[in-house]
Amino acid sequence: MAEVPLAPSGPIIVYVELVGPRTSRTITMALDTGAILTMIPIETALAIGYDPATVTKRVELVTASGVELAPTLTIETTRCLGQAVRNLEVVCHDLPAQSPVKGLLGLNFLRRFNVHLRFLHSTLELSSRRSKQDA
Amino acid sequence: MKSSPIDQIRRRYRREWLLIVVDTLDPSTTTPLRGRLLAHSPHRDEIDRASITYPKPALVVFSEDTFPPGYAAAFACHG
Repeated sequence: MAEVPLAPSGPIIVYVELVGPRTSRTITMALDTGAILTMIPIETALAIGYDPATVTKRVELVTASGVELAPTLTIETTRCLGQAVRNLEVVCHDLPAQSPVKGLLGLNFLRRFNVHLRFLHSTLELSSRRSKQDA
Repeated sequence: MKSSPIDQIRRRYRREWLLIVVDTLDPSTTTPLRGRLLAHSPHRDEIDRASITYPKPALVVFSEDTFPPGYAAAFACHG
C-alpha cells in the first residue's frame, strides 16, 4: 500500500509515469474521480513514442469550449503510487496552459485499486487486492 | 550537472515548467526524489518541444501545484 501526503488545498496531484515504446515520461496529474478515462497531453504521447495524429480511434470530449474529438491510445505501462497498469487506454488532450498539472488520472486507472482519501489525516492511500492480502 | 532534490529544483522557479532527468525515484510511491534540470521556461510549449526531442526518461512538471490567482478548476473526461 502506498501513502502520500495530500495538500491542504487545490487539486489532488499525483506523479504518474507513462512508459511507451520509445522512452518514459513522469508527469503530474490531477486525481479525478469525475473522469471516466485517464487523459494525457499530446506532448507526452509523442515523447514516449506514440503519434496521436495517426490514431483512428477517437472519443468525444466535452470541454468548456464545446465538444471535441480526441484520439485515444493504449499505453504500455502506467505507474502511479507504486502500482502499475499495463495497456491502459488514455485520451490525448491538452489541458489549458493555466493548469499546474498535465493530465487527469481517471477511473479506468483508479477502479483497479482501493483509493482512500483521508482528508482529515491529509493522506492519500492506494492499495491493490494483493497488498490487502499481504497485510 | 549535480543531482538535486526535486522539491528543491521546483522551489527555485516561480510558475515555470521544468524538464528534469530523474536520478532517484521512490518506487513505492512513484515519486521522483532527485534529478538534474535540463530546461525551464514559463511557457509550456517550449518545455513540450524540448521533451518531445529528448530521447530518455524524464520528468515534466510545473514548479508549483496551484492555479494562478482567480482560477478554479473543474476537470472531467467522459470518453
